Amino acid sequence: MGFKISLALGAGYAAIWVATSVLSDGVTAIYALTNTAGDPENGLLVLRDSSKASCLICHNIASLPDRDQGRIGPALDGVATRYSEHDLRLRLIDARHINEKTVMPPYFSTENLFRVGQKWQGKTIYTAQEVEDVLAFLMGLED
Amino acid sequence: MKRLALILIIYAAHAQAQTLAGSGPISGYDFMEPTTQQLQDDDFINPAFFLVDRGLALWDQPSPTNSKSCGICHQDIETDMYDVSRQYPKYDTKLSKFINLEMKINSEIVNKLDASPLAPGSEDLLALTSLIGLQSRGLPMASASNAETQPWIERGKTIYKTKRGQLNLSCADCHQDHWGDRLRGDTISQGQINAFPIFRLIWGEVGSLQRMFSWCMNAVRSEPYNNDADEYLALEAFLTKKAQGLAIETPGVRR
Ligand code: HEC
Ligand code: HEC
Repeated sequence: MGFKISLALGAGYAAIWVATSVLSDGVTAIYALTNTAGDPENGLLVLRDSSKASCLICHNIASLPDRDQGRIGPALDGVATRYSEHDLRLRLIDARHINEKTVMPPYFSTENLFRVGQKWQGKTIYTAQEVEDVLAFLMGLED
Repeated sequence: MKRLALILIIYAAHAQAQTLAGSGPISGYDFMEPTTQQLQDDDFINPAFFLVDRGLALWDQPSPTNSKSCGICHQDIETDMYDVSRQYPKYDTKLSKFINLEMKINSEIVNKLDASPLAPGSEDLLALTSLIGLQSRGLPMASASNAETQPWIERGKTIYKTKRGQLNLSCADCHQDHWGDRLRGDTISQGQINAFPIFRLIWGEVGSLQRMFSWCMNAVRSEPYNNDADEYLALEAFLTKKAQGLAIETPGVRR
C-alpha cells in the first residue's frame, strides 16, 4: 500500500498537529500543519522572499509581474487545477516522497540531508505556517 | 537589407542552438552576455589582468631568506611555464601527494625560496596562478587518466553527484541536468573550470576555483570543505576530465 511519511519536526514544532493517512490510491496525504488557516497574501510574500529559497528561483508564475523568474521546474500557473491541496502540500513539505531524485528542495523536512551548513542545521526552509500560507496562495492559481 | 539581417539572425540562432545541442563541453564564456565576453576578450580591459602584472613582479622578487626568486631558475616564463597548468591536478612523485597548481606553487615557495606558503585564495597566490595559467591559454584542457589520477576522478564524480545542503541539490542537478535553463535571471552553465582563476563581476574581484566550489555549496546551504581538502582536489580532477578539449581561457571573466 502507500508509503509512510515521517516528518522530522524541530522541537519548536512539537505542538503542531500533524496527521497522515493513507488514501485509497496509495498516496499519503498530510492534513494542515497548523490550526491557523493559510494566508495567501503572506504566502505570496514568503514565496517571493529570496532569503527563503524563493519558488521563483526555479518556477515561473505568469500572473506575477516579477522579472527574472526561473525555468528549471514547471510553471505554476493553474497548479491548483492540476493538483489537490493534499498533493501540493506534500510537494512543498518534501517532494522526495513523490520522486526520490527530485531537484525540488524539501521545504519542511530535515531528514536525509547531507552536509547541511552550520547556519541551517536542524532548520527547515519554511516554518509550518509558511507552508500553509504558500499553499493557500498556490491554491488560488487556477486555470 | 532588413530581410538579410533577419536571415542572419535566424542563422546565428540556429548555429548557437547547434553548438548548445552538441555533446562536447561548452565553456561558461558562451553563456555570458556579450559585454562580459568583451571584458575577457581584451587583455587591456580584462579586470583579471592586473593580477598577472602582480604575478610578474612576484616572479622576480628575491626571497628574504635565500634571495632566490622564481625568475632565477625559471628564466623565461613563456617557455618554462608553457603547458604547465594543464598538467594539474596531478600526483607529484617528489611530494608523494596529489596536488593542484596552487599547492605546487606553494611547495616551490617553501622548498626553493625557503619562504612561508601563501594563503589559499590570497591575492599573491591568485597572481602567480593566473600568470602560470596564462601560459597555457588556448591549449585544450587535458586530463591524465593514469593510475594515480583515476581514483581521484572517480571520487570527484561521486562528490559531483551527491545531493547536499538544506536545498538538497548536487552539482550535477544544476550543471549537468539543467545547464541552459534559467535560474532566476542567470542561465546555468555547465560549470566548466577552463577559465580559472576568474574575475567574477558579482565578487568584484578575482577568485580561485575552490572559492567557486564553496560559493556553489553555500548556494545550496551546504557546508563547504576546507581549502585544499581532498574533496576539492577530487572535484578538480573530475571537472578537468569533464572539460577535456575546451580551450583554456585563464584568466577568465564571468558574471
Ligand atoms: C632553485 C631553483 C628554483 C626556484 C627558485 C623555483 N623553482 Fe620552480 N622548479 C624548479 C625545478 C628544478 C623544477 C622541476 C622539478 C620540480 O618539480 O621540483 C621546478 C618546477 C616548478 C613547477 C612545476 C613545473 C611542472 O612542469 O609541473 C612550477 C609550477 C614551478 N616550479 C613554479 C615556481 C615558482 C612559482 C617559483 C617561485 C615562487 C619557483 N618555481 C621557484 C626550480 C626552481
Ligand atoms: C543551484 C544550482 C547550482 C548548483 C547545485 C551548483 N552550482 Fe555551480 N554555479 C551555479 C551558478 C548559477 C553559477 C554561475 C553561473 C554559471 O556559470 O552557471 C555557477 C558556476 C559554477 C562554476 C563556474 C563556471 C565558469 O564558467 O567559470 C563552477 C566551476 C561551478 N559552478 C561548479 C559547481 C560545483 C563543483 C558544484 C557542486 C559542489 C556546483 N557548481 C553546484 C549554480 C549551481
